[in-house]
Amino acid sequence: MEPQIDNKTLDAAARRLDGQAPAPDAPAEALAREVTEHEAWLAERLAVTVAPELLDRVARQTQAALARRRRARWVGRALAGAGALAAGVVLAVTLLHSGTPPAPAPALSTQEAVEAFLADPGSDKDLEAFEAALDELAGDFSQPIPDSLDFRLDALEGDRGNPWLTGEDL
Amino acid sequence: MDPDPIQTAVRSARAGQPEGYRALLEVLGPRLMGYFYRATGDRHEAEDLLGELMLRLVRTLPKYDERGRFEPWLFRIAANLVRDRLRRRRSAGPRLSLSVGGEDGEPLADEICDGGPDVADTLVAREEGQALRAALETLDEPTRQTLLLRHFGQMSFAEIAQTMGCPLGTALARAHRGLRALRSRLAGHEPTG
Repeated sequence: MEPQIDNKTLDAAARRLDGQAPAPDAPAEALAREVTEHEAWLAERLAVTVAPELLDRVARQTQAALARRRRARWVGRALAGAGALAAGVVLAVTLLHSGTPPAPAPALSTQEAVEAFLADPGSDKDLEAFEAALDELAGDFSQPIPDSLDFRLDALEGDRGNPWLTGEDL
Repeated sequence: MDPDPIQTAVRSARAGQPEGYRALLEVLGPRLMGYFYRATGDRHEAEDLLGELMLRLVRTLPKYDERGRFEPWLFRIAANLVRDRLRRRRSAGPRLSLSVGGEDGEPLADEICDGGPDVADTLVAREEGQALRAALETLDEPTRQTLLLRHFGQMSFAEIAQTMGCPLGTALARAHRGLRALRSRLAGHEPTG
């Protein structure tokens, strides 16, 4: 049977636990103490240890996303400054420098994305569409290439089943 | 005095420095991974969600208002990702529960987690992990989220109430009810050692 606790007591106990109410009445104080004790009990059971290799992998994905975004901004600024004719040149140069094979002529959606971005280079939404358009043109050359760590991790995963989460779940 | 490592990392990340994102992952990654894992019960989904969160950060961090605390802001995004993922999972149809045994009777999540040197210890740990997952699954979503955001997000009840759009007292009532329910369901599954 759940105990009935009135809203005033719940509010006061919550404020107490948030460190905002120094001296609540006795029922609120008792409730706050009970919750604290239960939380300490649960904390021991919820703990999960994460292998650093997992964080490395996510960090590399994040770095690749950052690089894509930076590239989109750079190309966008170059396009905005150079005008419509220069835009094609800058894109071509970017593609050449990226080392990827020439892409087919941009589709209408790509043109629209570029035009939208040029109209408002500060807009996040247009930047995202522009990023996608650049990816479409250049291929996703900024995707991280699996390095030896990934291969080692895959091997470990095969051996151990679950290399990421250790502790009570292993 | 050392500056707050989270604030330092946030500033660096906002400036577009990869080191800032790396530092954020180092400081908050384990808690985020724990949150995603306990919320979904699936380590692959948890890893996927952590990657998705970091990509979202790349887009949204420039909009973060440094006057507020960073962690509640971050865990609000994490909670939204979990909510969307669970919603998609529900709409995709019934799914085997992680606490339900596979064909051989072993819990599905633990079949990929084998391999400790001491078989007896491993089995006990498995049973405890399975019991916790099963107990968490019995909680309704807002109650489970309240407990997980409180533990992994280290959020105050006021922050949880704001995140979940409920009154302050309701946030505490959910935590209280959830904690009591978990404790009652896990009685007899106390960790050994």
